[in-house]
Amino acid sequence: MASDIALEISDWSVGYLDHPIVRDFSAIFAIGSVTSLIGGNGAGKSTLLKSIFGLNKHFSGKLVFEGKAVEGLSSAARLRSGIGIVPQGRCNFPQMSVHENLEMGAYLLPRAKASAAIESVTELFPMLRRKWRQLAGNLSGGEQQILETAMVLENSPRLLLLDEPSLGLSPRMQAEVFETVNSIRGKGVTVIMAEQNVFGSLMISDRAIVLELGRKFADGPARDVMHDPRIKAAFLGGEPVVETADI
Amino acid sequence: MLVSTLILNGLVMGAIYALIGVGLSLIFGVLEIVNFAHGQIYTLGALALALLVGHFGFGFLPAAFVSALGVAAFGYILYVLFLQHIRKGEFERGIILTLGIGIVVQNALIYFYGATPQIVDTEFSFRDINFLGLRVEMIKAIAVGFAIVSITALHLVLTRTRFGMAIRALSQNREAALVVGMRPEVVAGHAVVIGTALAGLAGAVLAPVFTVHPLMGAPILFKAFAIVIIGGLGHLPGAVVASLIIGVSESLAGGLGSASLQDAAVFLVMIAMLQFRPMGLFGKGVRI
Repeated sequence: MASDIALEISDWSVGYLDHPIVRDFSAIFAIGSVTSLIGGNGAGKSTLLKSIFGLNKHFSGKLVFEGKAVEGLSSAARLRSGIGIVPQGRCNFPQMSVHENLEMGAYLLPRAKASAAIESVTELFPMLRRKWRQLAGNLSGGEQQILETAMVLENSPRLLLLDEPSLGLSPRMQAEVFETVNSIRGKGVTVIMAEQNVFGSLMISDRAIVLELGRKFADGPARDVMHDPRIKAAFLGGEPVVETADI
Repeated sequence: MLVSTLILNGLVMGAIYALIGVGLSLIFGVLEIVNFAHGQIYTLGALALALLVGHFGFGFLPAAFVSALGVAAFGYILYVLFLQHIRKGEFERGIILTLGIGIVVQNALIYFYGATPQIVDTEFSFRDINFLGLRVEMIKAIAVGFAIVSITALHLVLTRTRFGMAIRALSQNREAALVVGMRPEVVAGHAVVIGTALAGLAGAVLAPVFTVHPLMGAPILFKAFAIVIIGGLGHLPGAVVASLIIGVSESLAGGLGSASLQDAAVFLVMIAMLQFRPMGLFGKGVRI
C-alpha cells in the first residue's frame, strides 16, 4: 500500500555558518495537505523552508521525501526529485524578459518538456503571456510573485514551499495568491507555507505549526490553532491572554 | 585624412581590446572576482601563437584557434583549482589570489620563454588592404574580423541558448539560479572558460601586431580594467562600447600628440568616468 506521507522531518537542526536557527524540529506532512508555518520575525520559518530545499546549512536530522532521504542532495537534485520553493523576496532574473525567466524556470527540463511546461503555466497565469517581452525587474511586485511561482511550477513539484507569497501585495492580489495555492493543492501537491497574513493563510490550510525561537511551539489543525487564544493574541490581533498559571 | 586614419586604427584596436574587456567583465559578472591574472592569460595566448607559428609551422588562423582553446583549458584549470573556492563576500581574497596567480604565470613564462621581445611573422604580416580609401594592415583587419565574429557569437550564445542564458541568470540572482536547479559552480566554470578563451584569442591575434614577451600583459590588464569601469562592471555591451572609446582615444592621443600620451589618454577617460558617472556608461545594476 502506498504511503500517504509526502515529507517526514526528524530532529532537524539547520541554520547559517556555525549557527543553528531551527533546532530539533520534527513533523510529518501528508500528501496534498496545506500547512501554515506561523511565528514572529526570527522564529525560523524561512530558514526551515530553505533548509528543505537545501539552501542553507544542515547540522543534524533527517529529511525523507516520498520515502527517500534527501538531506544530502543538492538543491538541483531536490528539484528533480519533486521539491520546489518560492523564497521570500525577489527571486527572478530582473534583467531578463518574462519569456527568458520562464525558459530559466525550465532549466532542468528537456527542450520538448520545457515548451509544454511554459505553455502550461502561461495558461494558469495568462498575465505572463501579456508581459512576454517585458523585463522581470519592471513588473509590479504581484506580477513578479506570479512569475516566480510559475517558474517553480514549471517543474511540476509535488512538494511546494512558499515563503511569504502574499508579502507586499494588495488585498485583491493576496486573495488571488491564496486561490492559486488552493488550486495547486487540488492537484495533489503538498504545500508548506510561511505567511505574514496569518488569517488568510490559516483559512486555506489543513494544519498549522507555530515556531518560536527556532523550535516547534504548537502544532495542530488550522481551525484549532486559529481559535487558540494565545495564537489569536500573538498573530491575529485578538485580546491578550492572561495565563492563569502565571498569576 | 590623418584623423580618419587615426580613428580607424583606434576602432581596430578597440575591437580587439573588446575581446579582453568582455572576458574580464564576464568573469566579474558571474563570479564577482576582479581577475588580476587576466593580463597574463592574454600573454599566454600571444606566446602560444608565437610558439605554434614560429616553432611548429602553424598558419595564423589555426594557430589563433588552438591558442584560444589552450588558454581556455588553462582558465578552466585555474577555476577548478582556485577560483571556484572563493566564496561570496571574499572580494579581497579574489584580488590577492588572482594577483598571485598572475605573478606566478608571468615568472614561469619568463623562465621558460625568456624575456626578450620577439616578432611573430605570419603569412599575413607586412601586407595592407584598402578600406574606404584608407590603408589598414591586413593582420589588424583579420584581428578585427576575429573580434567581431567572437563577440557576435558570444552575444548569440548569451541570448539564444540555455547555456548562455544560464550565465546571464547566475550573474543577476544567485539564489534564483539555485531555485531553478542550476549548479552555480558549473555555470560559473563555463563563464570562466569563455572569458579566458576571449583573452587568449585577443593575445593570439595581437601577437603579430606587437612584439611578444612575457611582460606584455600588465599594460593590457590596466586597459581592460579601464574598459570594465567605463562600460559598467559586468556589463558586456558597455565593455564593447568602452573598448572602442579607449581604442580611439589612445590612437588620437598618440597620432595628434605623442606616443607617450597614449596610455594617459586612456586613463584620463577612466578618471573622468569615475568622477562624473561612477557606475559606468550604462548605469548601476545593469548586467550581462
